[in-house]
Amino acid sequence: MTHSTANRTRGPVTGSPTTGNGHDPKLEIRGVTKNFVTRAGEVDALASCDLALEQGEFLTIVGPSGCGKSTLMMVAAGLDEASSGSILVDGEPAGGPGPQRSVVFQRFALFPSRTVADNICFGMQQARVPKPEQAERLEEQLTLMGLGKFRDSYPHELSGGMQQRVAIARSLVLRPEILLMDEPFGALDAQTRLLLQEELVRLRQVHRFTVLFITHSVEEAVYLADRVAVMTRRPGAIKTVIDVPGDAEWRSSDIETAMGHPEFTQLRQRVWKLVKEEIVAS
Amino acid sequence: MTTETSTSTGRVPLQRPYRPPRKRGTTSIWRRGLSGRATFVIGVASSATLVAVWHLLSATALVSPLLLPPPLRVAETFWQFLTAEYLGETLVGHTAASMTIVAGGWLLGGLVGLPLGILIGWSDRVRWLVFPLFQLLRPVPPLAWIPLAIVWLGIGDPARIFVVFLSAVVPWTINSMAAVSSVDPLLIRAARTLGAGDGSILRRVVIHTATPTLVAGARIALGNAWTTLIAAELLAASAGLGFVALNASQTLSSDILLVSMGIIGVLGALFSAILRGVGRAVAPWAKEA
Ligand SMILES: Nc1ncnc2c1ncn2[C@@H]1O[C@H](COP(=O)(O)OP(=O)(O)OP(=O)(O)O)[C@@H](O)[C@H]1O
Ligand SMILES: [Mg+2]
Repeated sequence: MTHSTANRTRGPVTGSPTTGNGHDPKLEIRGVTKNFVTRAGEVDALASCDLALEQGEFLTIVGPSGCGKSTLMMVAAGLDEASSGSILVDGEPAGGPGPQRSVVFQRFALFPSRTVADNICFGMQQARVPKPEQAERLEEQLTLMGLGKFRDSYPHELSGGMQQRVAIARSLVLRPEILLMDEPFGALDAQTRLLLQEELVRLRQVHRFTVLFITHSVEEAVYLADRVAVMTRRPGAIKTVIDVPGDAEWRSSDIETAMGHPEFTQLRQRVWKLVKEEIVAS
Repeated sequence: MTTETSTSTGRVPLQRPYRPPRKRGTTSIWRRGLSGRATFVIGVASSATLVAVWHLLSATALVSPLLLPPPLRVAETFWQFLTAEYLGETLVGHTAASMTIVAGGWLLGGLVGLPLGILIGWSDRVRWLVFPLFQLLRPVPPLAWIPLAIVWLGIGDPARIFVVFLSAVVPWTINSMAAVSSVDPLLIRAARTLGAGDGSILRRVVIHTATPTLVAGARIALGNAWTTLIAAELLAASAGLGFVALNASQTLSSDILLVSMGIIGVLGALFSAILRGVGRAVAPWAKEA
């Protein structure tokens, strides 16, 4: 990251929040607002949101429930049209959804009529990846997610945590450049959660994908992120973005150990306070 | 067989809330549900009881055999007319005649109703265009078309196929439409992010997910077609089980009447069972509806 201020406070961002050294951010959310027209009237879900993610960056978003996090992600994925503003990928308007911006949905969204293996292969079949390579990549994901025994199971036969893993595998198997994850570990038990958090950290070190990651957990947000964005209550806007030092000591340890680290605790408390202000105020 | 309320506008209940399986012994037998074998045994037992009561009624001459012939005579008649002719055909021939027309009308109904329903469920534009017209025609009972069918097509098979078609096309369409529009939109979104276009989504996600409901629609359509055909044969036919029943009643041949009614009932149940089996075979992932 080029900007050194650890704390960019909320406010209208003038111009494009590119980093200024000539290259475009991988994913840019520029002045995005969203309002839904419902029978009960208009709902302002997002006030102007601006975010720019560098190639390979891991940005987490925390915010009070109902503040518009999922909405922001749907817009970023190209699944919903912003009411105003735009989404740019590599500096170009991103257009409709596609496998390069892979999404892990808050509600899994597995295909009920397909087995675990078929769910994971769906995107590869769509992209006409050669069969042998499909098989290879499928095996890799099944092993990674510990789903080997469930390859022929249908989603309804799996626990919530297992379903979530299938959803993650279905995204990762496409080796996306950008990964949009909406509370992907929300349905997991504590152990699996730990396991997958560490796995995700390892994976991004290998693949360097760019991740926009929504979570309820402040610990998770701090542990995984290069930067943590805190959203205001609805209509959601980016309240503050906090840098997480890349060279922090706790970086190399697992989340349990990291949480005992004073530096980590300090960051966590800072983020938590920002979130709490929004919850209390609403 | 479980009973089924299938009216001409029959619609499949879309999703049942998941109920956790009950532990044996904690609730009464009625609420617990039974294994396939147990239901079979109970079914056989209750049918046997019915036949026994029937036999007693006619044996003790409580009911005139003219009105209710004893079960053995009905069985004999059945056996005899399997090979002997009644009104120009054996029972097999009459059954085949009825089934041909049902198959024709039902298949034609599917040929039109299945794609039509899928399109109505999938595309708002098609829905706006077609649905009002459809809603207008739907309340007309299929049998009310018979006079018009006779004027248009004469009194032969085409008229009956047409009426059966009308009775089948409605549930085909309505259920296909419901099946498609009840697919979770989030699945469609997920498919889009996985690189699927409209065609792929319709085929690989929407129709695939909707298969069990589509088959259930086919089953209801077949039930409707069968009911309507028999009714149509009571009005205008020269062969078929309904035609047999009508003539038997006019000549007071209650044994033949009962035989034809028995066949009508058994075949109706059989069709339903077969399509249930088909549903299970093509969508093993679906919870029993
Ligand atoms: N399709 C929609 N139509 C109308 N209102 C909507 C729609 N989707 C979301 N909203 C509203 O927008 C607001 C933000 O919803 P959103 O799902 O983005 O919240 P969230 O931050 O993801 O919440 P959570 O943390 O509970 O998942 C809510 O008030 C919600 O009611
Ligand atoms: Mg959400």
